[in-house]
Amino acid sequence: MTDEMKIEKAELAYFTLCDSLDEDGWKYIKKDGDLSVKYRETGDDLPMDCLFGIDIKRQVVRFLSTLPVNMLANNKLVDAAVACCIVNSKISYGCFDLNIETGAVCFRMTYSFKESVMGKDFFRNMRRFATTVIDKYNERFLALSNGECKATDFLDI
Amino acid sequence: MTVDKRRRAQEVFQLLCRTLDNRSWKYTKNENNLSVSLSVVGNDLPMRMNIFVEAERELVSAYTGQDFSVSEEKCVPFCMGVCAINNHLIDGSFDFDVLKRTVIYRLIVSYHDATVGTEIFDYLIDCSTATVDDVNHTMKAYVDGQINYDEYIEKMQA
Repeated sequence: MTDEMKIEKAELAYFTLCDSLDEDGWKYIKKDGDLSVKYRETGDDLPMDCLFGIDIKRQVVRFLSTLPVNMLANNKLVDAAVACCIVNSKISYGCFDLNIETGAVCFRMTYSFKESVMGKDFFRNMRRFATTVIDKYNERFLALSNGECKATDFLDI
Repeated sequence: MTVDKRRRAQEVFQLLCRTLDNRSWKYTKNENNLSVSLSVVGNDLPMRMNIFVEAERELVSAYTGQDFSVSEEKCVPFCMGVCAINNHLIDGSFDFDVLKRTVIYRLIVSYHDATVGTEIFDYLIDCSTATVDDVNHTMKAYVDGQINYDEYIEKMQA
């Protein structure tokens, strides 16, 4: 696939993503230059800052949501690493990434669109899966960061 | 599950098998649960790959396992390295099961409201094998005591 075709496909994916958000009545901030959108979703408990980004070169769409925790500041880096491994082994969609240098925890979910054409429901489905997983675990990660639970408590969720 | 979802999953499964046939790769096919399993030899260590077409969720999931387990005393430091590498990945994740002390790499593609061709399965296979091949020797070297914790973390972050 030529670079021009990759750009065309990525832009089509971006417009379809925006259409799906528009259709569902979401308010979001567009960054047309790097084919990304940001918005805030309210879960059952904590708000989620969400970012969708289209990667032209790799032909993937990524959903990222950084959790409102800092494991380094609260000296919970090792517990957070164990917790992330426990959770990632349980979930089917996406994963929780811990930055061991900054202590940030981010949920990441990637879908490839190589040689495929997606409809609006492709993105809707991705968003639904991602927010369901985040909503299930974000409160527990916050509790871990605040010293209110242990990494092994994630085994029971 | 709807008949449509089941039919679509079977079509996707045939496409997955065609991708493997195009490579002349040997694999074991399970038509009942729409899965294939195969062995892949990387630059150094062998890998076991299981790919499932999940009809209900309209996903294709590839799980690439490695032939080593982590000792109990290295379990917690091993988690740090797994997080270090995952944080650098664009797609997929290394999942370390702290109870079984085994690690697999998981990568999924979705075909929900999307047309897919064999290229998406080439991506699934190539991305999985390349990512695992990049780090499996480092993981095993740490598990076997050939490198220390600092070297392990440094290599996983590189």
